[in-house]
Amino acid sequence: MKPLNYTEAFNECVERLRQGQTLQDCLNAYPEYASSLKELLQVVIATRDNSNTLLQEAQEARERHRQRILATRPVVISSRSVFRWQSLVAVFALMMFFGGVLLWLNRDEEDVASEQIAPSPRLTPTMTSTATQTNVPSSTPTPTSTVTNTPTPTNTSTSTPTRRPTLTPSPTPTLLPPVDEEDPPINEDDFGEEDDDPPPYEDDGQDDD
Amino acid sequence: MIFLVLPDYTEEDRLLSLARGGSQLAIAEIYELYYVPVYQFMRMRVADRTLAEDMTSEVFVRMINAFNGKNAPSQSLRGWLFKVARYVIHDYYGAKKKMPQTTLEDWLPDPDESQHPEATFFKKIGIDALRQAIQALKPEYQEVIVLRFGQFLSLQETADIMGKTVGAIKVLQLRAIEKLRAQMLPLGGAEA
Repeated sequence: MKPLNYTEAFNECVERLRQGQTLQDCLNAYPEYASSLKELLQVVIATRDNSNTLLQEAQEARERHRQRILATRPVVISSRSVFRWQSLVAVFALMMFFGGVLLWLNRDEEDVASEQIAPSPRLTPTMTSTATQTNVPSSTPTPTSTVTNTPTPTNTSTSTPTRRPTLTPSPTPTLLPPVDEEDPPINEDDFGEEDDDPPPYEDDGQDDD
Repeated sequence: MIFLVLPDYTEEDRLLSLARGGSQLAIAEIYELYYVPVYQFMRMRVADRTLAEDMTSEVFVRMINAFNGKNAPSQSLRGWLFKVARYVIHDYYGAKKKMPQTTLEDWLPDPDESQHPEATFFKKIGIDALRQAIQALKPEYQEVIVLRFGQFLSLQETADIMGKTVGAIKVLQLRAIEKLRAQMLPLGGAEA
């Protein structure tokens, strides 16, 4: 047998222990290292035996966790679903991009048209042609402004009758025209109960004295 | 006495090919065969029993996910499992920044027990004390001791799992066992 250094001799002994040989077999094979190898190989055997003492504990743990682990549903994103998901996102991103570009171009043309119509009469034909093309999407702001203007007078006229009972008693008889003759006369006591402030002309304090 | 828990390579290859084909029975059989060695690996390195169970379970959950994805083991199932076990420990203690290390005083035996002349070295220090001594080593030494001497994996398997060469594992295992032995000297190990 060729002479081995200490590291190789120790490794050979470990391999012999793996194959089922005894500690004494190893020491007999390498008598020159026997004393020091014996100490180390005892630790090796102790480690192996220590691991084997965990057998019962490990089997109990295996029983406890078997049901839960084997019932585990794999959390895996397959390549097919990833591709589907990515393609949807890509299509959506492209739609958003081109939509944004179209909107930006439309707005830009409108602004350019509004800026350039006045100074150059030569540009007016070209701008009118573009205006007719882009009027469909871009005309939405203009009707809204006209619509909001029209209902304002109607709102004010319809709101006046509803506000009539809540007005303070002093200005209403003088400000309101005689709309209906059948309306009962306004009684100041009806309004005075809810108001904390005393009505005008009653706070003189002369009558109390 | 050598008690090998790991199955032979032929059985392992058969299970691996079946599991890669989607066989739930093969996955269940892998669980039955490999839970104990993976748990032993964990328990030798982690002091807390519940934590070792949780970490072992995590290894098998990752295995089930891997068999349904692209990262399924292709060659050595046991090597893959121990490698994942290393990652699980690293992930856990990496999040906590530091592995807990026991001190020598934590596992010194009762002085009365060490007075028995007939007691051998290993019976004196006790099973738990040896385990705690291993856990007091640096992680690299722990791994090589548990893989080589706890599970009796081959040099090549240990090298693959730890990402080192066979020559490096030879040197590392000797240094690790010497370090472990040195920690046990105060317990009377030199008398054995």
